[in-house]
Amino acid sequence: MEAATTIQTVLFWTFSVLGLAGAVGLLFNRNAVYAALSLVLNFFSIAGLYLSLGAEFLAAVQILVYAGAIMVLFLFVIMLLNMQEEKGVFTFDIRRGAAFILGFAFVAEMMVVLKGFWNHEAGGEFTYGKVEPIGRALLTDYLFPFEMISIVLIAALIGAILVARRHTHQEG
Amino acid sequence: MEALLPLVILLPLLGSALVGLGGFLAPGFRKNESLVGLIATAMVAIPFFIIAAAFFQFDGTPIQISLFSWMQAGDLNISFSYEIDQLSLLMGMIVTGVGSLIHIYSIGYMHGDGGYYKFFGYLNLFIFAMNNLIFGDNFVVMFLGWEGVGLCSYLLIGFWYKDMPKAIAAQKAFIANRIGDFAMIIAMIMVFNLIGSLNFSDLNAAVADGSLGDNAMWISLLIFIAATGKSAQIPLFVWLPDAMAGPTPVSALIHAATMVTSGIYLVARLNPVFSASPEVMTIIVIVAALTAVVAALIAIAQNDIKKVLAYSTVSQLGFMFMALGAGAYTAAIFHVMTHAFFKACLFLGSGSVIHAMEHMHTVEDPQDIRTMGGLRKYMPATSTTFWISTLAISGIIPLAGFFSKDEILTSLFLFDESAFSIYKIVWFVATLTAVLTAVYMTRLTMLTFEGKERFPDTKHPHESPASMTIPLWILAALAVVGGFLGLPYLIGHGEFHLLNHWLEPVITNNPAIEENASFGKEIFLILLSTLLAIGAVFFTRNLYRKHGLAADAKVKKAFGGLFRVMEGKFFLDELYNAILIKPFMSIGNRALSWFDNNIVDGAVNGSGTVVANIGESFRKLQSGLISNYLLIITTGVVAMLGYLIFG
Amino acid sequence: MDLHLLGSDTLAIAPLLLLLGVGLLIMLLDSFRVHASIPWLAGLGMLSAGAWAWLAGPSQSQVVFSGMMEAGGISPLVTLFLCLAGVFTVLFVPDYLARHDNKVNDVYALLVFAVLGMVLMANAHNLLMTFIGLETMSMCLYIFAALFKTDTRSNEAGLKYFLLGSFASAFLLFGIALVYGITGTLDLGELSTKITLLQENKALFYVASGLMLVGFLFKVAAFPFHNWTPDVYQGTPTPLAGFMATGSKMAAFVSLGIIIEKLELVSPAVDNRLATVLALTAFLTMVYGNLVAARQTNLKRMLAYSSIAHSGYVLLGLCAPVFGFQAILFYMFIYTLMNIGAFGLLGMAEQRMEDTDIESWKGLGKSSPYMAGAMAVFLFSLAGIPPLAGFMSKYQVFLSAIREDLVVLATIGILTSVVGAFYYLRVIFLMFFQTTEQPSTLNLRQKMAPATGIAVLVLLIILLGVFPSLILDPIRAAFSSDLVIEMASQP
Repeated sequence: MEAATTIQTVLFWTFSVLGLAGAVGLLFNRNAVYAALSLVLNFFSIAGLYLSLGAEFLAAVQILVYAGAIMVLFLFVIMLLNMQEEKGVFTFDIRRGAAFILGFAFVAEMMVVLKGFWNHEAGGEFTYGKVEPIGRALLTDYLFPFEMISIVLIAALIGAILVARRHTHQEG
Repeated sequence: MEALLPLVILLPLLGSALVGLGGFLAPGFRKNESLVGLIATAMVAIPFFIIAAAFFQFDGTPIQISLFSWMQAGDLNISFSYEIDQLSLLMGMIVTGVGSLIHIYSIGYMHGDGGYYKFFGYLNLFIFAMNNLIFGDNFVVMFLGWEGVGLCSYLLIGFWYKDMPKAIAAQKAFIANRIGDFAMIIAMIMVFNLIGSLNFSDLNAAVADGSLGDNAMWISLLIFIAATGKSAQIPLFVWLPDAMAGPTPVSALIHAATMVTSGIYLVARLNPVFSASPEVMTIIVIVAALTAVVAALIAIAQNDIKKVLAYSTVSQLGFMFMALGAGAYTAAIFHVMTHAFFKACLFLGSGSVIHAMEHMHTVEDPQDIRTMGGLRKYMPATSTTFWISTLAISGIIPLAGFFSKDEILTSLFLFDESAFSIYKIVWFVATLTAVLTAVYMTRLTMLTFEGKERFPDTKHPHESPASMTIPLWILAALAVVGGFLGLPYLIGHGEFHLLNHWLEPVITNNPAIEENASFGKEIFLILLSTLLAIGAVFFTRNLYRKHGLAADAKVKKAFGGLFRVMEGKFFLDELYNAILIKPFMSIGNRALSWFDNNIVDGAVNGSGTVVANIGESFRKLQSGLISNYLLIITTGVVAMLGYLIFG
Repeated sequence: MDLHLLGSDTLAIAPLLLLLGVGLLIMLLDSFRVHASIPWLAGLGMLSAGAWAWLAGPSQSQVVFSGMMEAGGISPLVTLFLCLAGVFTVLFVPDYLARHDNKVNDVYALLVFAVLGMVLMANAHNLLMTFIGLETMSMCLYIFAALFKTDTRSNEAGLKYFLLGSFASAFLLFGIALVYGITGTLDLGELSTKITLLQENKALFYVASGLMLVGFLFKVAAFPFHNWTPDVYQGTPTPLAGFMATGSKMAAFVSLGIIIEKLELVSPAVDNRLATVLALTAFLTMVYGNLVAARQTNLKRMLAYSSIAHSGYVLLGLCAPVFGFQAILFYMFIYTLMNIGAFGLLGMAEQRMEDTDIESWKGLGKSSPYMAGAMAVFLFSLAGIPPLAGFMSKYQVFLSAIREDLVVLATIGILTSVVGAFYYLRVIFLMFFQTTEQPSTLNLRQKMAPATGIAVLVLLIILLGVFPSLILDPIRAAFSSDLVIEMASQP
């Protein structure tokens, strides 16, 4: 086995375990700030995975947008609302039980299907994750979807404004 | 001539639009009753004359009229196309002819009613739908008419919808018809699947070349089930007596003369399919015999003039289906025709009586024959025509009913040669029913028109206006002479059975009947039914003349325990309620409410629980519901993927 | 991407750009306080976009923008239908919002963007575009649901729809990702040439398509992904709920239909489990929707469940390739007319919460005969009573199913539609055959725009019932010029 592959395997496992740990931490932490920080860990790990695949641009965006902008907003909200640690012990009602069972069933099903499919040898160099090819793609082949995504953003913006605006009774 | 034929279909539609929309939009037009009546009547009468002209000029080759192509789906082309042939012309004459008379009658009958224009709009729409049903050359156009007449019937039964029972009766009719419709749709699917076409002629041809095989049985069975809905046979007949809640001209037109016979028309139209399935024919004949006798027995014990006539209609429809079941299609159509004459006359006569009783304002129920009696003195025209029709339906020679009923009885008797077969039993039941018919009709007429007056004599009833009595006279005249269109086989070996000759190209009757015929048997049958009918009429007349209303007690005694059952209409409504509706409702309700509460949304109908609790724990409840939904969705996903991977 | 084609490509999708322009213009006008003309602008904008697509769209199908979008073929017709859904909706919205003291003009921009998203989705030639279209549409619909901020129901609806919708979108995205994983492309044309590659990895292909199916089935409210529907419709402003029930379903069904055609998901190949899944879903949806709808006492919820049932019929059509696809396009158009009409009328009647209770429609036939008559037409048509258009559309779908030998399923469909007729008729029964002491408490204000909308819809439903070929012929012509779909469906 080549050294590069070995390093990649090590990186993959490290980031995967860290990412999963972050996700679990998010779910089970009763303190909102800790939960948010767990999410940051998750975001960073995923960025690491991207990086190990050679998708530098994606990794950078992941950190800038998610770990940076969105998480800062989250933390602001948490602090503004002054959220308390949730009371009560961890209850295991039937709904939660069903959710666990279904979750495991889904994962099991996906594992059955994916097992043996993506064990392709990592071959060649990852070139498409660099900034230049992405920029080129966005402005040529993917120009149209790239522009159209802006409508989703506009719609989301309008929505956010509508929900946040104080007066719904606007003079017409 | 041919150029005018599309008008037969289009004029009633135009009339309906003119009268209905005109009345709806222009209050001035609405108030002008004579104009409304005139337009509506003309839109039915003109088609009648066109059909009559076509009838007499008809040269034996069917005329195809295609208005426009309705839909084209690949190789299937369904168009609004109509076939003018012997059978459809005859039915068309009956429908538009009787229809015109009933329109004229309604001008007087509905006078002063707030919904006058609406009534005529519906009537014209009904004629339009009925013409589609009769003239359509494929299942789809026929089905359009089939649904349309059902809809009009629904609208007209509930016409006076101020009282609840009438509205409920309308719904009952609709539900019974929908059950039949379902069978019809399945039949259509089968036909399309088997022969790739929905044309009647293609289906009949497919039977002829044997490509249908056993499926003919299923198709005919399904069409018969559909017919039991529309033509009121066991087990779906319960709606027809309740449908009498509608205005009387409607009962005469839709629930006696035309719509209820559409099942018989359809069977006759598809006679090769039915002839190819003897098992279904046996089922038909048994169901029909049961219907005929049960309805006749119920009719004896009823005191509502329209209810008696309604059960009588069910019973007579049973006769027609018995004829179909024996393969005597011509006899069935013959009886459709004569029945249209005398039953329309009877219904319109009853309408005239009800009209008179209502205007006295002294009796509580203007339809109860126990409060009538002696009306002949006041209503000579009504009573004479009513008597003629009563004798006609009872099968008194030489009135119309005698010929058609005799032909049916003969066909049943001659179906096979064995002395004891299903058809012989059915023949016996039919003969018995014929006697019962004479009994209940004579009872009805005697109690209504003869004997002492049983209403308060402060006021007198009056004869109805000419617009109502003229149709009565015409129909009574037809009830007298109508039978001569089909003189028995006995006379000149069927040479004088004009109807048979006319329908020969489109209808193939069961040949066994003719083969089994002999002079002796026919004379015996004719004499038997004549004597029985005359005897029954005379016996009943004398009984009621002597005892008046008290004769009912004697009848009751004669029938013993059975009378209780007859009075209760064989408790069929109760039976259906107990074995079908109630268990279904209670199990269904229980299951569904459990389902609602535990599975569906946790909140049915305005999410009551959510809103009720919204104040106290909005967030908790919300997340609860959403995670329920998520669980259901995920269960779906996991199950689907599980099947896709391992299934 | 060939930059030389940029001009002609742009021209081919001009209606889309027109919609985009109109939406932005509305936002601009709103910020300059030019309010009165906004609904008109939205309506006319969508109308002209639809007309443009229909009249000036390319006749033969072609792919533009590096295979992202399809122009020509069935897309002009689909664009027209979707725009019409928007136009009819906009006729009812201003009056409804004014009555509820809510004059948020952004709604119109969102409506236009929603139509834009639907058009993107239905005309996409690349799964990425499908997803973007779906998200654009969904984003606008989420906001519609949450429009009335002071109404708890509306809050509830918005939250539910958003959370569940995102959940379903995630499945769709996962499915798309798996397809990319197998084939390395998202281009539908390219995918259809890689069918063998897909079929080699059978289990994975099944799972990928199954996951995509979940995303679509959620949007069209098919069992068991339906349960958001009644709650969300109930909380959404009524005319917009009508739009939600029609436009989004049409877009989702067309998109699903294209994917089914191109990936041969229900091809009669041996052991095709996806076909079974689709058939089973159709069966459950028809049965469930009709049975539960019959138990509703609230008209809006009844219509919601009825829309679930209708999705079942459309799914039935999807089980039958090509011919069924034509039938469902017809079905969805007719369904759009009927449902926008029914919801619109409901909105006109609605002043208080109780007004959507079926009981309060008692005796409406007496107090407002025109409106009750129009409602009766919509309901009769929804019930599939001939000769109204609703009968014809059901007939087409059942016929297409029968042609593919799905006789049992079609029979069940017909049976459930007979059951379905009862609950529609119950409303008609209440309106016309039941009179209470007082006339109906509903106060149907007949403003010009909504009344015109109702009249046009009623006329269209009657007209298309009698002359269905007015729509069927263009649909057939569009399909025969759609080379891509035809090619994929050839054996």
